[in-house]
Amino acid sequence: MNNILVYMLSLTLYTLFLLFWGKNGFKKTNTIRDFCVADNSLDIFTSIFTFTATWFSAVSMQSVTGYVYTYGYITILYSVIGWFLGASILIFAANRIRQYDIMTIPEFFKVRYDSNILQIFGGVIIIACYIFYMIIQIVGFGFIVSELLDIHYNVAIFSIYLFIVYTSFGGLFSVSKTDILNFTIVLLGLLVAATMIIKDIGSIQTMHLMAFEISDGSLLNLSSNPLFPPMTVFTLGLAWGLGTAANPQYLTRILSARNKKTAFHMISYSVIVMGVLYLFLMILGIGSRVIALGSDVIIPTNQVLPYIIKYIIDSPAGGLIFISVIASAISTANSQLILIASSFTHDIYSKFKRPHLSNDHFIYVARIIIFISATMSLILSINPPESLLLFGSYIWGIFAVTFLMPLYGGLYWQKATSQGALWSILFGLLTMAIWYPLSQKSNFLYSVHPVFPGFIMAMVSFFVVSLKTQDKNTISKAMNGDAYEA
Amino acid sequence: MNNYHFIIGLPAKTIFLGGGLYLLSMLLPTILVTFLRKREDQNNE
Repeated sequence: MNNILVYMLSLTLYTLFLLFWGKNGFKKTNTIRDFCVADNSLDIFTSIFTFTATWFSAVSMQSVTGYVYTYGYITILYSVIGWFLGASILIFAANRIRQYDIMTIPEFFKVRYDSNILQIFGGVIIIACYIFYMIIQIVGFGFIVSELLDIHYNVAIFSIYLFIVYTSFGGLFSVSKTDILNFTIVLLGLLVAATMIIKDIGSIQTMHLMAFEISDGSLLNLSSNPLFPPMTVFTLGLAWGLGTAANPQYLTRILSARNKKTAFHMISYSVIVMGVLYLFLMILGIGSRVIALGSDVIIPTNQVLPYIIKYIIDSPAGGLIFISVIASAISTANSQLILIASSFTHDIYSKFKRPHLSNDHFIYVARIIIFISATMSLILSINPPESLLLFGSYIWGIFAVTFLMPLYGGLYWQKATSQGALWSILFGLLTMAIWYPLSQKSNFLYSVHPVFPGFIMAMVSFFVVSLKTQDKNTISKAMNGDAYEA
Repeated sequence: MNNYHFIIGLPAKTIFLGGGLYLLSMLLPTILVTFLRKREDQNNE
């Protein structure tokens, strides 16, 4: 059968499944809490699926595979290991944050610091960052669909728009339900892809020995690539790790879990599952390079995966791998749309317009915001960034320099004040904004990711300003979560 | 290639350093959860 026909058939089947699977989520969403945090009711099974599906995005699927294919295992040092270490920090958030009766992370700033400005500012940061981060998902989807179905990129990106808007309209219930389907497809797709590659080459050992031969060791060594000096590897990993720890899309999953124990196990089990999945991606990247005997084959990293499916896998199984890439992009993008809608409606709109929004009005406004923000991301995706992995690290970096200190400091340090949190956000952002243009002019500065100086400034200003702005009410007001969950 | 020691075809340095770091980062959340839950149980007692 013609491969394009296989891909189209796979996409049609996936669409039908998604439509059927997602419709129940709509019925369950009646309140603001349903929409934002699925009524804090998700069991361990659903929590793991929604956590992993949100995590495993186009960056994981396409950029990690593409970079492993091009640069080898050193990619894992500054991406996946950074993410996993960030997940470890999330455990500390899960340990405390559920004591607060909140539905969004900016709402935590309001409850903990008694500051509307921090809540609104937090909401604005979430909206801006996720509108830009969704570009990665749309671009990832666009590349694979346009390449494999042989249609124009602009037409391809429009089709993801329909998927993500549909699955987001039903709130987190709908997203978490479709995440079960999406992550199952990702899991199966990668398992099949890795198995086919190994079968083709013979064994993992042969794959590595051949990779060593064709690249003179550079694909396998962790220190041989001049493009990634140790400082770059360290600071890029730091950007991803700290960004993961402060990222509302994971923190919201902690809130949507049924209880603290579920949240703990969701994170720990999910990281183990993903640890196995990234091994499949590594096999896909290195193995494809070996099969292509490709030290001379130069493909832009973003287009490596479509190339692998089209020319290396080149079988009907490619249909499953094709939709697994699509599922990874959709399951992350729809989750981010929910966060944009929740933040706008709960953290910003309700402050200015209607102090007491009804459930129906909230859901109505949130759906309009889903529509508007998805459209904005779609328009911005027409001219995609060159490196999705680097682009993503800047956005994760913004979360690291803005949310990390106010969040963890607020959870664990009684002396943290609202002024400390506010100045930490401002100094962190300012440092990143100054460092980035400077780094374009100097090789040394370029090797240091802007998040490194940004985070140091955010941390110093958080502690210094908090200590300078203590008053006698600070500590008594601090840590007074609503004892929502003991 | 003669200067290298290979394990499943990978240079020994890559598998021990990279693989070790990978495994540790993958298991760290589980270790932390075990530690925090144990401490919580002790506090409850």
